[in-house]
Amino acid sequence: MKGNAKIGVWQLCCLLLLSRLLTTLTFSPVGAEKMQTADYLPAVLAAAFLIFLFFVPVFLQRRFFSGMDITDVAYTVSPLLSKGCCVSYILCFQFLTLAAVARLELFVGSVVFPNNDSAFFILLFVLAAVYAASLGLEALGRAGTICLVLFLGAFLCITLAMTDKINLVNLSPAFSKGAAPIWTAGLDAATRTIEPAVAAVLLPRINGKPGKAFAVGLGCFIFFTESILFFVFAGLGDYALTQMFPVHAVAVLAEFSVFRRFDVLLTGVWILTAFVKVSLLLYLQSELLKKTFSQRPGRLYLIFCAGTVLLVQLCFAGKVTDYYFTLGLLPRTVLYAIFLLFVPGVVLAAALLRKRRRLHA
Amino acid sequence: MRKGVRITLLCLAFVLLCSGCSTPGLELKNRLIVQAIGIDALPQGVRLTVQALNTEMAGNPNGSGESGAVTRTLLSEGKTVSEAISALSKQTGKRPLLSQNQVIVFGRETAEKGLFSYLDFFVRDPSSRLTVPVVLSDTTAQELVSAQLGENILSADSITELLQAERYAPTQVSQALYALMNRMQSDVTNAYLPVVRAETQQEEVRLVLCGVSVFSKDRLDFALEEEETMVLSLLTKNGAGGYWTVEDANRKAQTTVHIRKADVSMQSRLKDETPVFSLRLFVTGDVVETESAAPFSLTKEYLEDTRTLLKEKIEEAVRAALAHCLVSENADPFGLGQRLRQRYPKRFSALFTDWHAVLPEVEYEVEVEAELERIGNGVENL
Repeated sequence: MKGNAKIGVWQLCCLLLLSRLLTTLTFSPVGAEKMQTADYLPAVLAAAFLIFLFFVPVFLQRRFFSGMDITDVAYTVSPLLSKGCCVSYILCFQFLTLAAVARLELFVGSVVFPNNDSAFFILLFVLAAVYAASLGLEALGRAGTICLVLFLGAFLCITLAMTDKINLVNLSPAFSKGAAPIWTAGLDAATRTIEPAVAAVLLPRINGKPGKAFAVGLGCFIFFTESILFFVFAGLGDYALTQMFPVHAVAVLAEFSVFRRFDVLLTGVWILTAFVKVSLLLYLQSELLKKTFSQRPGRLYLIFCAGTVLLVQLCFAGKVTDYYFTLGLLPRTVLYAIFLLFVPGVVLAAALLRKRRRLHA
Repeated sequence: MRKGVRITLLCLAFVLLCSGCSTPGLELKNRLIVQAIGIDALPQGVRLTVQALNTEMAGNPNGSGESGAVTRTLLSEGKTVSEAISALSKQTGKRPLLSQNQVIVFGRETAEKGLFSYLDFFVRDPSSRLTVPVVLSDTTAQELVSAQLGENILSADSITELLQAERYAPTQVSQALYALMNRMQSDVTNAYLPVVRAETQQEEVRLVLCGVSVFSKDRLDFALEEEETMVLSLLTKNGAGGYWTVEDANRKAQTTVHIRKADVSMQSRLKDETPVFSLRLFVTGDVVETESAAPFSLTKEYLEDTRTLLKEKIEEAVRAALAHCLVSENADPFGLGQRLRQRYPKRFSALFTDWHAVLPEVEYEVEVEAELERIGNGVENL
């Protein structure tokens, strides 16, 4: 993707971190691997290791095809492969947008407006996301940075207010069934990390060297996810696993002095984070559609993508609610492997072979 | 022009966001603001006693000022808790609002039958807060919630005020909904609840805390004595604030010590497949009162003797409480099993499939380190 606008590497880092932290915030025991609460803490390290591995195709792309996104890399092999790669990524991003919106609707419908229809909220949310996406990548980069600062502020408030509620006795024993559940949970978390796909498309749109930003981003992911899960399980104990959204439940628990209702703060941050993530995903779909088909429709692509999301969400919510996130680990891993590992892997391998042949020719 | 259209659209969007105000059911006067819920089991269902704010009277300067006008006590029945709550709407024409609920009360008979089926609603309902305290009525929940305590005094307020006693008097404990659920769902730790009773004295009704009851899973099992409750507070790190009185036979005196700081260290190990717990309690107290037949100075020796007596008294109380709970009742409200399981997760699962059956064989070592720091303003007893 070779748009004019570029963002700094740290802005991309903020966007990707925010996107991943939203997945952590929306963690729900429904559909997750059942395990002892203390096992979740080492599982984050296992997840970080797997995420690092899943980013390897992105590193290779940056190393051998600097200045190209994954579809450009595919174009060096054949225009048809490039179009196929574009369609694959568009489908992937569309699916992830649906998943993010569906999970937000589940949250809004269960926690924020339990007695009302959340369809109107979702309609407004998607319209706002379309507007944000239409402002372009620079605006999204800035919004992501501000949102991450707000996220960290809310996180700090909640952790400070939770400190006196922490009781290590609440943690059920770690490693009681060996290391296997930890790796399973690590894989579970890693296959919810779709940020390598975003990075593969946005790589040529960043200024600066991404190595350090990636390391910091992964470090922040480990730190925040460990902290959030520690506060959730040491504060709530096994009760956390009876809740649809344990992180929200722990925010309900957090209070000190006259400062209460931190769950409202978390709800605001949650919606804001989801807004940035959905805007980014819509923007990526629109840019890829422009590249695959014609440039002419411009922002109509955005409206088309958002319309599809709304149509599916409003007509099929409840029947197909939560899509990706409530899938079992095996089908999710298969989907992840196909779209985020196999497709870029094949494209990169073919492009590297072609490049080597050209050099030897 | 384009900017103007955008601003207009944005303003319209904000107007749409105000839709909540136009829904009649959401207005405060149309909500039944629940302050306390009492739950009593019926042979076929459940009876709820709900104390709710009378929103038409509360804060209304033109109100009649009649006794109890600010609150209403409502009774409803249903097959389940949710059905009984929805039946309240039929009585009042208002939608119940549980987010302001201050306390959940269960009747004794209900607790004897088991609480899980009644707690599920509160765990699932998004408006119910997980920090709401749960208490047990010594009789029925209805009697406690509908107690007429005086003009405009809410029984919900009285109960929550009583529960605040935990901060100052470790003879009491309180349990939030989430903590209770954690204990009830655990297969090693027993849940407990404070018991409250409505007493009538000189035609005046008042609520009193009258002990702590321990549960086996979700069923009421046995009651703790006051000193056992103090031990429970000490072992769950809430022991500060208690008063212990020790008798000095040599001086024919008794001294009351206020525990200012208390901490506990619980070490667990397995000795030939037998669980062994080393409990070390650290207490720092102040002498607050002495009584004796003849005056004497509070010398260093006296304070040293008092410290030793205090240490022995607490050790004895801990041993007695452990013997009662672990050996006589096969119950572990102290969370000993959880600590052992944290330390030896695999061996615990293999050796102790039924932890409660093992409890009488558990060995424990109790050691108390007591310090006396202050003696107040008096240097001599009276």
